[in-house]
Amino acid sequence: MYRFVTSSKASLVWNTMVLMTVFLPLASLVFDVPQYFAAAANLEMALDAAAQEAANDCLQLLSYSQSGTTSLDSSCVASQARRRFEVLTDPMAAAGHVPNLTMVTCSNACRTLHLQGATTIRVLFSLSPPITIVRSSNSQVRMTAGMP
Amino acid sequence: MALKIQTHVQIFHFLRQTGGDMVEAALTMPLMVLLALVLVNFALVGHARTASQQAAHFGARMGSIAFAGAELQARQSAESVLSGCLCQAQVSHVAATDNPGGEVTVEVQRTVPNYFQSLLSLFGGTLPATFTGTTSATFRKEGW
Repeated sequence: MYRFVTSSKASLVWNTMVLMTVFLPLASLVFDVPQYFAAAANLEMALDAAAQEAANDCLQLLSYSQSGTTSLDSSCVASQARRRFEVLTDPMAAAGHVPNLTMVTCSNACRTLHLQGATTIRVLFSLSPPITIVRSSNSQVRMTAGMP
Repeated sequence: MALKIQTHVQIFHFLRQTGGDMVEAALTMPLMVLLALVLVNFALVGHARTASQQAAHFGARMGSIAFAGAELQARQSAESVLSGCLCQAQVSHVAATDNPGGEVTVEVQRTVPNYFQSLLSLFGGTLPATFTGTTSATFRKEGW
């Protein structure tokens, strides 16, 4: 066995070992890391846009005009955020990811909206167990004098 | 004369011993170089993809919070992100309105040359000369 491994006849074995331990993980790294960052960036963008849109659409304008305090309609934010999130993550779902809006809450007397989303990705040529990417986004309503 | 023959015999033996290895190396080397080039090229594609996503995201976000000139703001913001990218990417389309509630969309198109195309053709493979892709981001214009 020792003589076989150290002889030139075993070069195929060595080549296969190098391929398995160096090139395949390297190839996986090259393909999977950008895919991971792309999925995370898409998720982040969808959450940001959903949080911003829900905060805009669900502002209680009547309350603001009467009392001068800003707050969001808690019954509205979840549906608005989910609607926008689903539209923006359609391409991700088509690409085989499973994006989910996992949490929609508001705090600070419902002035601040918190969104959390997650998606899964498989690496090592889709051989690994699903890896969950979690991202979150916060949105707070602000009233600016210069706003048209 | 005897020395010359002996030298020739030594060279012949050397070539006979190492010839197989050289042929093997000559056959496998292009494949290994191709593999290395593919890895580097696809890493560049991934980098361009991530950078164009960031640019589209940032541009659309900045356009959505601009009081006026949303389109210009979105384009300039996206281009500022792209200026730091080691890739060929450009803002291909910006659709923005200054009206609150409207949408600001930024599209970024990226192009990465295929550096291993000629080497791949030696093995009978074909791929496009460039890897292209488009990324877009859409944000709602702030305000009421």
